[in-house]
Amino acid sequence: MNGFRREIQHGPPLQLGDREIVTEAEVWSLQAKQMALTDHNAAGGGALLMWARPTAVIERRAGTERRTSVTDVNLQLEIALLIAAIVLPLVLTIFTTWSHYRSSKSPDELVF
Amino acid sequence: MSEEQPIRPVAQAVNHFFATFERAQNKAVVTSVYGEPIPYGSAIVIPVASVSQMFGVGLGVGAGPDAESAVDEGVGGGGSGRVTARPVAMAEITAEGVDVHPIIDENRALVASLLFAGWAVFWAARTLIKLFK
Repeated sequence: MNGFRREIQHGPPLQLGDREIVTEAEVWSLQAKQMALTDHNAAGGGALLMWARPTAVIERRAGTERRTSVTDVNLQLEIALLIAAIVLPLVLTIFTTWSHYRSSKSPDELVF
Repeated sequence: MSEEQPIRPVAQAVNHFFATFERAQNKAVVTSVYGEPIPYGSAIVIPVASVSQMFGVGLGVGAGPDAESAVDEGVGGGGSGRVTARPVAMAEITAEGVDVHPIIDENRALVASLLFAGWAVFWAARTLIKLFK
């Protein structure tokens, strides 16, 4: 099936005494495929991208369930730096524009 | 030679690849994200990784206008794929419960930090030049 898909998958349960440990992962996938047939020609192709990331380790004991989230510290750092890299030029550009505007006006013309 | 002869194998091959796509997509990738449990003293350690894979394939066959002639036939195809796994954490299962210890990829963090530092210096210098010009 062509298109974008997201699903949560659970691993096989690991039995430790009265406890059951289940792993959980989030899977993102994008698939595209196409085939063309004519009288004398045939062509086809496709591509698949898939990304699976761990989300949690679930511990089940006596009817209770405890989730321990798995965080990707490296990914969080990269996302934070990426956001900072986008915000920084915007802030500096706004500051420069404001500074030029302020310096082009006499003190009496400035209204705060 | 019939007209369908060169086309049918290609159609079958493409369908085979499509079926492979479906199998790859439906396969339980959670088993590749979480490694085999490793006993470590009184605890059990499970390595955890982030896994990405990509692959693509293309196939084609063409015959000339004269279907009776095999001279004009051509068949071609190609494909490529890549699978990467990056360590994310270690899950430690003890008698008390489950602890997840994140793994920091220092090289990756350093490269990202240096790239950001360069970007920040560029914009700071640009701003100062504009301010004092």
